[in-house]
Amino acid sequence: MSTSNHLLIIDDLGKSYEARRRGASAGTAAALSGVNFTADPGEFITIIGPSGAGKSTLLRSINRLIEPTEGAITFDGRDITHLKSGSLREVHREIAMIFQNYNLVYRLTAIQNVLHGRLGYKNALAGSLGLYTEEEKLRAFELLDEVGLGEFAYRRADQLSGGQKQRVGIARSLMQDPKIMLCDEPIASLDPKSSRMVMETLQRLTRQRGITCIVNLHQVDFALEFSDRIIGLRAGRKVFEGTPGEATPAVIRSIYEGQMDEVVDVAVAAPDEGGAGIGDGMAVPVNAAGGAQ
Amino acid sequence: MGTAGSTARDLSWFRRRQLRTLAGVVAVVVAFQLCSLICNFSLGYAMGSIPAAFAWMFRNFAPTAASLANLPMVVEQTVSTALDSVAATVIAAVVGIALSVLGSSTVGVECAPVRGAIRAIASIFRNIPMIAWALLLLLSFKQNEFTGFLALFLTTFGQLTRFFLDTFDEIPTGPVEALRSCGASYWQVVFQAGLPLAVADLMSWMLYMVETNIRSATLIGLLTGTGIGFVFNLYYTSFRYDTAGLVIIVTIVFVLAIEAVSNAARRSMI
Repeated sequence: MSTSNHLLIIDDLGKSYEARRRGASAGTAAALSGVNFTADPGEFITIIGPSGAGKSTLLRSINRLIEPTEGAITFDGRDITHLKSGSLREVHREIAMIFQNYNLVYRLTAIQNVLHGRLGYKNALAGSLGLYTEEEKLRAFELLDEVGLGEFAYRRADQLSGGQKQRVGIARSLMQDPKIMLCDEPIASLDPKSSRMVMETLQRLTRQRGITCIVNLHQVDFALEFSDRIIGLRAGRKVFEGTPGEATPAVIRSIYEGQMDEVVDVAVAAPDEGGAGIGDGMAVPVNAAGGAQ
Repeated sequence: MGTAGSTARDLSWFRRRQLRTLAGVVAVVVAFQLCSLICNFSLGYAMGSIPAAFAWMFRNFAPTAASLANLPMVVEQTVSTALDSVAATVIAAVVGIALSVLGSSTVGVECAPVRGAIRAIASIFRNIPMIAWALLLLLSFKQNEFTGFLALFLTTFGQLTRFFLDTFDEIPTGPVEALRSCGASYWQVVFQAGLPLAVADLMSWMLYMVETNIRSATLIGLLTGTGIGFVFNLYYTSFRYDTAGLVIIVTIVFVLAIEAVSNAARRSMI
């Protein structure tokens, strides 16, 4: 494994919360522990796992919206684990984020929301007053065109459909000129048609620009279809990492239900489940079992 | 454990519930009768005298042709009082917005003592009645328009800061998180997410306080000897009810007009 040219290195990352309850089991509850992975430029990585597995915590720890309690994050050759807010701001503009609830300022227009992507680059006054350069405005229009919403530029965000809002979210992210995009359940609130459109837009635009994309997903079929690599998370630990081809139905099932120890057995014993959309039934060895790295 | 399919349910709960409601109603009636007895109040007599009282009111307070000569002066004083209260409310709103941004849980400063202090200040100013402020300020500022203005300002400031804090606390945190995550600075988040998300409610509360304050300003004027309140008091205490009645009518017209304007403003902001 090369170490120097990874865009992102997540090393033994953990997050525990102080247990607030007084009494016998005073201690800490781990939402995330011992998670390792790396991401290279232009990779499309999805993180799957049951609700409460820590997917959202992991994603938010990467850009330190949540402060991790253990481990280290190296982004673009720089350890950002303990950066103070000033330098963190510089890092934030290179790490874009997309949210399940779109998180647009719904009273502002689509174009204003897209321009928010520039705030990290602007001084406090110009940014506060929304004074953007002509160049930035034209750029925002181009991005809206690219996500197919050019004609909605002056429409207020709360008048857009869910899929349209998420595409405004993508345009806002690209406006940041990010190196990496973190997407937290981007299609969880969308119907299948809009979901596909959002995923395709996301993949197309990040691939064109060589932007790394890390996506939390509930929809396993979308994960298998769009990812270069899949990471499985359960109970705060990484229990799988591999290509979509390696994520057999049995592996998927084990991420969502079973113990990881059982996975290899199940994979061998029941080669063809067919449930998750991989028909070839090849029992592929799980190469990253149980965080044994 | 009961046997399977047992139908013996305890239904007495419903009966007890009805009895309790009945007992409550009886208690209220008894209390009312008792109190009336003690202070010699007769409901029937009071009701009976209402029509006569209204008739007297309309007869005496109806503006006469002679009182209409005072109309320009009454309107002028009403306008001055209304403008005074608009000014007090708007300045209170500006100060209130600044403080409530800093004190809110969504876009506030990351310093619990500051936030606590802002909440405490708002509570203190809000809970001292406007009349008390007016009386207090009269001692140091004497009878003039500024005293009334200050009394309005201080109470409104407390009231609005409280409402604004609630408004900012209730804005969705998602957009705030989104702007932080893309590198926006504190003030950029406040101006680009906090204010746009809150502005409609802020304005609505401010307009509400403008309406309330025009009514309150009339009362304050009685104490500070200024504005329409003073005019009313002057004519009222010198038994010139026709002009006092004119004052009331002009004030009502003004309040209704302001209410209509602010409702229109609200609708256009949604």
